[in-house]
Amino acid sequence: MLCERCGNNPASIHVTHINNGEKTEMYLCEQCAKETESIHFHTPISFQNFLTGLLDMPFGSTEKYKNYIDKTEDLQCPNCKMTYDEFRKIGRFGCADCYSAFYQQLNPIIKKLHGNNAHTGKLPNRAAGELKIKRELERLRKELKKAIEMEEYEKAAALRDRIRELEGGENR
Amino acid sequence: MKKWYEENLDTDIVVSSRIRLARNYKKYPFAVRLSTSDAEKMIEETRKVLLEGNTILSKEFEYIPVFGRNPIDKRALMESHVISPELVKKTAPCGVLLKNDESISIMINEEDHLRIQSVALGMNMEKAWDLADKIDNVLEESIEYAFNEKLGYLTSCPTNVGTGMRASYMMHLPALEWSGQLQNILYAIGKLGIAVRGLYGEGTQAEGSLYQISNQITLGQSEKEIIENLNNIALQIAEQEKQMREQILREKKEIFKDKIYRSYGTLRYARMLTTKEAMTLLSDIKLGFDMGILNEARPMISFYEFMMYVQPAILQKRVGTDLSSQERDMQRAAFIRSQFER
Repeated sequence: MLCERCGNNPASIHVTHINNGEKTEMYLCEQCAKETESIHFHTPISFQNFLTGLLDMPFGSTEKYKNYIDKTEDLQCPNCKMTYDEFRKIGRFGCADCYSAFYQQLNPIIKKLHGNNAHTGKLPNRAAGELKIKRELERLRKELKKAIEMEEYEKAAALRDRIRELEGGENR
Repeated sequence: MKKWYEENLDTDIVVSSRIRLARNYKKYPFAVRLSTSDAEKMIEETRKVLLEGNTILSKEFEYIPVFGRNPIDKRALMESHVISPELVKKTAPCGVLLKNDESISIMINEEDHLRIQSVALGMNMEKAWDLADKIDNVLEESIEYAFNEKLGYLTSCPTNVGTGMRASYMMHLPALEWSGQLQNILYAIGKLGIAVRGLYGEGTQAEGSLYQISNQITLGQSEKEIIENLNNIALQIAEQEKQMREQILREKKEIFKDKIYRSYGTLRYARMLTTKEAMTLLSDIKLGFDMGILNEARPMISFYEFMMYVQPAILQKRVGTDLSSQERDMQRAAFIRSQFER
């Protein structure tokens, strides 16, 4: 068997490393074994580790940062009692209500993370049934306008019926 | 039941397509605030939705508790990509609902209450999305999700809020890796809101030149837009990999061929192989077959399966856990040899 590190020399040494309780075993040649003694095992940097850093520094200057810290000191979610300070440390929310409790602080951070702050994707039927109808109505009205402009009256009539049907459902 | 990866499709550069949806119950606190008894209740509730419903799903899924299971079993589930490294480490009640062909798994009480995962072979994100979307709809009929009109699906971590979706392609990129070009490409795509992760997702290392390319942004784009954007980038990377392979053939064909044949020889005849060495050799011969320069008997199972079966916990589950590491490496080499004998 060849050395797992350089792949050139025959492996003669079996090295076991224990890092955070995780065992790594390697077969190395003599030279590589010597060299790796001082090398710390490399772990890729995770994106989420950056998050807590980002939460600590949502503003550029230290002055602004200080004001920001003062303002958030007493901020707490009324439902799960998570404080903003705690959230900043762990980067995880305690419950769904934390989003509204920390909304002001959160908004710029979310914009920074995603470049945007409004959801445009899938809507669940149950939690967003009304919103779903609203979006569908908007879409149908646009189509209706286009159909009238293009003088496609049959299509327009069908769209109009569909809109009435949905509006009826909405008002009920 | 045939597993999704046993469909006899040998894949090229894009090995698999994966979708993950993060969902939370509205009524329970999120994972960091969830008490043990609530976690148990939440698991039971989810289990019932899928397993006691009147749909065909109840026959297709089974529940596997993860917390309290022995470490080898847990690790084997991770090596099969059924659960994440995070769920392996979790010290609270948690588990997974698994479809019989392993194409869909729903982790319960990971970082979010529910993590729906689906996978398809090769470059087929539409299929993976379709699977996840349908299961999501079924769950949503009975579960009220934490959802906000402005921010979308609310998740434990703000990096997942919105669609809660992570789409990822597992890509085999040995030529780019060897040429040293990979770092530049990974750096460039990082600026486009695309992340690169190792074999088992976040915080893990690449093995066998396999990389997971996935979207970083989950808010402000629809699921379809996210997938299209990722498709474009994955195709670009695949094109670069292809070009690099062609360049190798033009400039270093004989040296390269020698390297591939050496790997093939080692794989077929070695008596001891560690996981890492086996992964590297398997990656080499996949590349050799894909490039058409290795004209030898192919192994009897797909590359994807092979990569899974040489992993330490899956191997130990098959050959026993009381072996020394040297005996394991012998068993691994013996298994690999057996896959070439007809």
